[in-house]
Amino acid sequence: MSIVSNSISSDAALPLAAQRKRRKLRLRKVTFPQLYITASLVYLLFLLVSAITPQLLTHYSPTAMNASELLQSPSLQHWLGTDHFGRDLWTVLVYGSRQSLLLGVVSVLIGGIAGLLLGLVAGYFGGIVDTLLMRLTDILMTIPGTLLAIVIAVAIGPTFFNVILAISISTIPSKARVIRSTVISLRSRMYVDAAKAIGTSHLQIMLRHILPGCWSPLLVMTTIGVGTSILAGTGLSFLGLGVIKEIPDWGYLLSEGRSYMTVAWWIAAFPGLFITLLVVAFNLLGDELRDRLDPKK
Amino acid sequence: MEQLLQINELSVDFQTPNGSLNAINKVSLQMGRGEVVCLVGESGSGKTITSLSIMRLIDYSKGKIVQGDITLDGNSLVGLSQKEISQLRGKKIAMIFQEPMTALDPVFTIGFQISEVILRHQKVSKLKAKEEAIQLLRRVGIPEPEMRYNQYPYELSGGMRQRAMIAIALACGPELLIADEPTTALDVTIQAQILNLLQELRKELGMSILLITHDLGIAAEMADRVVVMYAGQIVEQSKTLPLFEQPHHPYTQGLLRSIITLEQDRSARLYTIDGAIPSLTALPSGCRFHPRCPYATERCRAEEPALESIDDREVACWHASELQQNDHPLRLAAEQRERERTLELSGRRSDAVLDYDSLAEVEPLISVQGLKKHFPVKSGLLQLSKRHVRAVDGVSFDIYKGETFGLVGESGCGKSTLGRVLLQLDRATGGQVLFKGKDLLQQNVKERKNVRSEMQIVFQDPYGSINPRWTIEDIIGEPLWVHESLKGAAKREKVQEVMKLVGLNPSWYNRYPHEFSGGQRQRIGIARAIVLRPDFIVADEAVSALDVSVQSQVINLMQDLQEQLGLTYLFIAHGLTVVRHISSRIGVMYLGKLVEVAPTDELFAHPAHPYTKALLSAIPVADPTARREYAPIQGEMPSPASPPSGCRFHTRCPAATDRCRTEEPQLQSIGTGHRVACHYPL
Repeated sequence: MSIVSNSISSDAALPLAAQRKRRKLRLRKVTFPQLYITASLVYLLFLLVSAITPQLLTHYSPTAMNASELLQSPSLQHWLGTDHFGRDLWTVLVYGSRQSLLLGVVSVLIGGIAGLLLGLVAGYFGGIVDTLLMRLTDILMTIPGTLLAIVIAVAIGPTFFNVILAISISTIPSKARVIRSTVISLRSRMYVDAAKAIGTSHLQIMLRHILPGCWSPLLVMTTIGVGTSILAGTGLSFLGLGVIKEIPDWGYLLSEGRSYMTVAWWIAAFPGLFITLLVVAFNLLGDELRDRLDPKK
Repeated sequence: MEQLLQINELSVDFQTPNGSLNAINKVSLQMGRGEVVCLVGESGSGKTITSLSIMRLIDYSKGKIVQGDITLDGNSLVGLSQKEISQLRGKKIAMIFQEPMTALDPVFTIGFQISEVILRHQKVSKLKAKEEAIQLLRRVGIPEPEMRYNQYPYELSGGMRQRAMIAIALACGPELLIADEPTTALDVTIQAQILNLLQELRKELGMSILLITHDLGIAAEMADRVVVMYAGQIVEQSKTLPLFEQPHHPYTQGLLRSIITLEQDRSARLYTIDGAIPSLTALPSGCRFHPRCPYATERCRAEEPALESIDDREVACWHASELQQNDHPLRLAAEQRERERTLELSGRRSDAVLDYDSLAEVEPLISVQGLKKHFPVKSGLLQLSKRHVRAVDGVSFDIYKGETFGLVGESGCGKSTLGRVLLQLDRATGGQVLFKGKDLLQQNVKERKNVRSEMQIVFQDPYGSINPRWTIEDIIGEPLWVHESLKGAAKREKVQEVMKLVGLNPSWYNRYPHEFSGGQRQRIGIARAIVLRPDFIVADEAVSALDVSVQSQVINLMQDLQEQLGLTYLFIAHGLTVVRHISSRIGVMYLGKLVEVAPTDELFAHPAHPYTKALLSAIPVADPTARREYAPIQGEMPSPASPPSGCRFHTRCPAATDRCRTEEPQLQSIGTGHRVACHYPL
């Protein structure tokens, strides 16, 4: 067995080099990236608390209108000012986070999972399966997303869950398309051929070889999608197809605030900021997650 | 000789996210007018970076010349702005690249791309430029240049594209032509044509050629002078003849000994240089070659040797002159070590000698009969008109237990498709594949899964054939998990056992592929193939992507495994020297047909098919004294979608007659185990 021991000893330079590289990376990570990841996590934690127990974060009531305090600019009493009903804006935003989060996250999850499945099956099997599934998404794609959501919302009735469903269905085609093209490129990799030669079943090849390669584009699409979904929900509410509750969600607040832009910028600006931060936070965490899933990083 | 190019102590750094990386270090070389200099070395040695530095193309990939000078014709190139240097590119210096597929712009015609260079550097009319371009196309041997002028790169074959690249490079009569692995992506017969063309052009135009190659055979054939690079430095440079006669640097010696020749004893183990070229991020101290050098001493480990003149050459080695004495203690010690090593391994290689007379009575392990694989090509309106590419078109042969059957042929001849069909990665269009007497093409899903544990495949590309997201344990253990549902410790134990067998450190089981070199990854691929102890392995160009020294390591490993595990190989390759070394019998394929089958020694001694003969004579020989005056086989392989009538080789065959054009020859026996499909066997 001397060939064996020989080639082992001669390759020994490699692990050292790899180790050194790993150590260097860890040192570098402590600084800037760590900071924004922490900030994103803190923001999401704050949203989670406000969605579950909003009363912990404010002593005002989100429905208490105060005619004497209409459109007040941010101050010590009202951190983010008041809206056109005299409600404390901070309170409304905190209470509205439950709906906004549900709308954004759940619709993205449903759309993402459905798009992933469709893309995976169409891309992996190709042929007639691919043609059928892709013509289906083509049909969905011909209708603008918002219009499609409106049609669905009208057809199945404007309950909160139906709105979520409507929005998620409208996001499926684009996701399915992107995933499909990713899968097609992964499918032709040699290691997939190798797995077939080994006798690995189609399901296992899809789950273990192809799926991990799809996380990256999917994460990017879904993290950006959260913001768009919240705004799409707003669009529906705006048209009277969403659910209008006493406590408005962020998107609704944002579109209401638009008409007061010139006199009270804060009504539109702060909901907008909350949504933007949510999208940025999801994006950063998504990138981090993608890096962690990649063994090369 | 008048100096044309001078490079002085050139160092180039690259900016990477982890800081700057020194790619080449104090490289100095001179080129005279009309001289051909070959830059040789394994991948990662800095050959390409050196050539890109001359063109200053490194500027576009975050590279920077940090030290040293490049002068062309007395003018320094280092200080020039990109605008100034672009005046020289194409006019004084021109370059041809390895990949003629990607180096040409797919959206412009060949003619446009040539005229563009002419119009850029010369004040001529468009019509004149076109005339010149057609002239050039004719000169580089492209048939029907007027028609080709208006064609797009995709309409040309690989060899034709490389010719077109050369035409572009020649457009303004450069004084220096840099050719970066110009023939690596081409078949041997085409390679011989292109090298011939380059030689002719040099004589005709008197230009200098800087030829970058990893193939010492090409260097021996083409070069006036050879420069050997290793890990970003020049280790030896010398005139061609003395270098091949008596290499001074241990690395050059190792490279020359690693070449597999057509004369060497097939039963001997291949010589290998231990280990692999170091990564630029983890260079060893002292002499960069010392971890792999058989003569390394303390001094080599601590101090870096400079390039010094000894005899008629320059060498960077502390012991260069000592090693020239046959009885120097360093040499004796190294020879002793090597003897011990060979002794330990001797007696292990018994060339599986088959008794070809009694083969008829033995049942083959695999019997292929009339195998066909046609791929439909859709084209035309609504993709309705269907043609077929006949990748494999009626091939029959047997493989016996314990032997290695080599399959050779130019790319596109269907050899890889054949391997894939045997393993059921592609479904056959017709014919039979009998494995241990059972027809594989008639099996149901379950039977097919079971037979997969008995036959496996090793792929060409060590980078693409293993999943980069998996650990080594999962990669090698995948067959165990699929077939025996092994998990956890039981799986790891078996995986580690196999890792030891293929020469990987078993404690690396939880590493990822990117931490391994090409050769090591190929070992991983082999480990995965043998983990279930199959009987039969298809090696599809398994060593083609590896450097010479590593290639020999992997071949030795494959032969050791064959002996230990009683494997049978189908070894598919285009490198004839490698196939000759490893195979007991060889089949030659041309355009989907098997044209000749013979025991290895018989095939190389008495090739009976004109095509086999042409293939054999196209192999470059690493001996500058044996430069050949030969006429390489003309033309290229026709498209397998519309193969010629009769004998498919008749379009390129020097001995073709009317009978060849009309009547298809069948495989017929012309000796023990020697069969050939030719009406007039040689």
